[in-house]
Amino acid sequence: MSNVLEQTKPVTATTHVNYTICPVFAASNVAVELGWLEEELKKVGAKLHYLFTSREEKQWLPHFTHKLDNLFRDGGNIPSIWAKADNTNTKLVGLTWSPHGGHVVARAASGIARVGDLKGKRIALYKSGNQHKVDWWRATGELGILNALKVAGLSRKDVEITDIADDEDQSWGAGAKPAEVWASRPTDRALGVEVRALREGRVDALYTSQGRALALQESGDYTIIEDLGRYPDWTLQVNNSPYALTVNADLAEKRPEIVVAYLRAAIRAARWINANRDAAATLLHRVTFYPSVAATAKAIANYNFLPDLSSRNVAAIGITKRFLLEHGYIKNDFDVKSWVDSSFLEEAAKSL
Amino acid sequence: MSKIKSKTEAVYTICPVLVASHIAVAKGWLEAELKKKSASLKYLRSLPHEQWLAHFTHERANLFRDGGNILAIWARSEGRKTRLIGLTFSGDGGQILTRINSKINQVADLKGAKIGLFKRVNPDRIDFWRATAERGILVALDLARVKQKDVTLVDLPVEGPDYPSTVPVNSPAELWWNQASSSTEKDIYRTELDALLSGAVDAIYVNRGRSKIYQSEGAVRAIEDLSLRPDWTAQVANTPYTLTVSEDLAVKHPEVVVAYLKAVIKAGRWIKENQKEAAVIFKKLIAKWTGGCVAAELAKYHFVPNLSPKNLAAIEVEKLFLLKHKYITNDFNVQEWADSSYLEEAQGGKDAVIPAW
Repeated sequence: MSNVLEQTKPVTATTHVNYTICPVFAASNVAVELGWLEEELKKVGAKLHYLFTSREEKQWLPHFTHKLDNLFRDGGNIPSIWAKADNTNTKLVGLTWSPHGGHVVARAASGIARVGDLKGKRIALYKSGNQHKVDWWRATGELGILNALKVAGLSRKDVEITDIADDEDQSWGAGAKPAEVWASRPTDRALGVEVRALREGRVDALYTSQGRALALQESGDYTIIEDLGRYPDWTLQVNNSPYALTVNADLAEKRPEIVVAYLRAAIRAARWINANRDAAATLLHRVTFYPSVAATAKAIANYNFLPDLSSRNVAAIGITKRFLLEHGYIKNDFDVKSWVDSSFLEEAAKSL
Repeated sequence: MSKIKSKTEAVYTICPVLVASHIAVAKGWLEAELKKKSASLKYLRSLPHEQWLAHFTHERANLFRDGGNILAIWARSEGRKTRLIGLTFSGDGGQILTRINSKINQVADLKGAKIGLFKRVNPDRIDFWRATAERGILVALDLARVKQKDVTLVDLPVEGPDYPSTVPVNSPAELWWNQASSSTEKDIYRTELDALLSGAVDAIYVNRGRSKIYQSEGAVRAIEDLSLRPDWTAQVANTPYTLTVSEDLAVKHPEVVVAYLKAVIKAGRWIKENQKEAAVIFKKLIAKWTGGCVAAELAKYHFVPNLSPKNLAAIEVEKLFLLKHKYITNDFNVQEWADSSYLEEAQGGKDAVIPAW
């Protein structure tokens, strides 16, 4: 047992803890599915509450702004960086590397076989009409497109980047846990609205995440012309990942044992996934947009789910932050190293 | 007179690379097999350090050496009497690194750039580190259709020490582990990385193990990984590893050579079946690697040495490179250097059914 846990006094009033997780390969998602997150938090007198169970208007907003007390957020790093830069004081307590980098997709019948063929062609770039949050999907798309052009020896001026405006649906769905929310999403929205522009020939290619690209490919109408995960260069794989686990700074300061408890659940789940990948794929398929359990299993085969705050992971956050600053997605700079607090992760790992 | 016949004494040395010889030593199998043939076994670096140079020169009548092929090829080309009795392929190939904020995103972008190249100042022996890097750089440029004249190779001179410590040790594990755990020793092979980080050069070549470590520090990235290329000749990089033995010992005591190979074959098969345990042993020998990296590497390759046509052709590729770039001056016939009779006997005869790999 950890020191923190031993020192914990019996808690009289239960602390309500909120959580929200993106539909990505993060151990948090499995910790929820296995009931371990609830279990670990209960031990330290905290009660778990999923952000999207609320049916209030804009209940989704703290998923991006982090403006909600006692909130844990795990998932894409772009909203987390935006929240830290421009909204809320948080601590970065864990990172999960993703080796995928994303894909560039074209119509299968277009004859476009590689990014080099996109010279003079149109590439879709999502643009949200939702002014309340960072346009993280656009940022991800923009970074992915620029990376793909870069390794093809092209630059932005060689192609026509076409905004695909979306009057983003603001009712995000609700559910008792992440799997329910994502299952309620219409396919078109889940796969990205740029797909329609590609289908209708308004653009020639789009950038998307691996799971969505594989789903598009399965339809037979589209083909993948670039896989940024196939390069040895790890910086090409930094795109809304490594996934960031963040928590409000004041909760971390006042109730460190709750943060340690969350991380214990995440570490336990990560170890379980690493040892039971097929079973884990079944659970992760519920909370991501991969086309099948088999595709999910293949995607996580060489994936390490154990959160860490390694030099490379932290450097990757620095790369993303710089991109977001340079392209106007965030207004304020901040020091990544002082955002990171590894004490909770160390304590959690030690206690297991 | 002692009633014990005078024993054959064999000495061995192994590079810190993934070869089955290390496991054969660590498990005690090498010593046990040799003992059956009344031969005793000593680690070269358990002897006074004045004798250690034989690791590079093979100037010794009773030496087994397993590891990087460049030194073995050089020793043979210099007229050392050795026989090549086994080869272990590795598909590492090596990687080209740049800084994370560099504008160089692929090898094709290296036109006009400076590439760092390690240079050992002491000319007493072949500079295998430089030779490995030079070949890797030229292969990468060639694949990207960049001409050598379009880049600048920048020498990075390095002066000793050859041995961080000259205190004799009992085993390779002890040697490399002491070295890796010593915080005061300067790692001379980080010279290229330092030059890259300081901006003195724009790119460097490193092997995969170091590449993983350097990249994990967050400041550099790989723009080429030769192990991902389908062309196996791109992966000849101080590999395939050569198992060589002094001709004197091979002629006078062929049974000792067969015994060595038996232990190594056993170890090679054991690695395949016991990758996690093997990774723990190798982790101590290649201490800068993480255990996870080692396990991943072990899953990729086969560790029973062979003298397959492809592996022998790879040695020819390496030798021709060394000749062309004047790392060695004398040519020799690789097929004549190789002697498969020991391996055949160790495997149970010429017609033994060997798993194909």
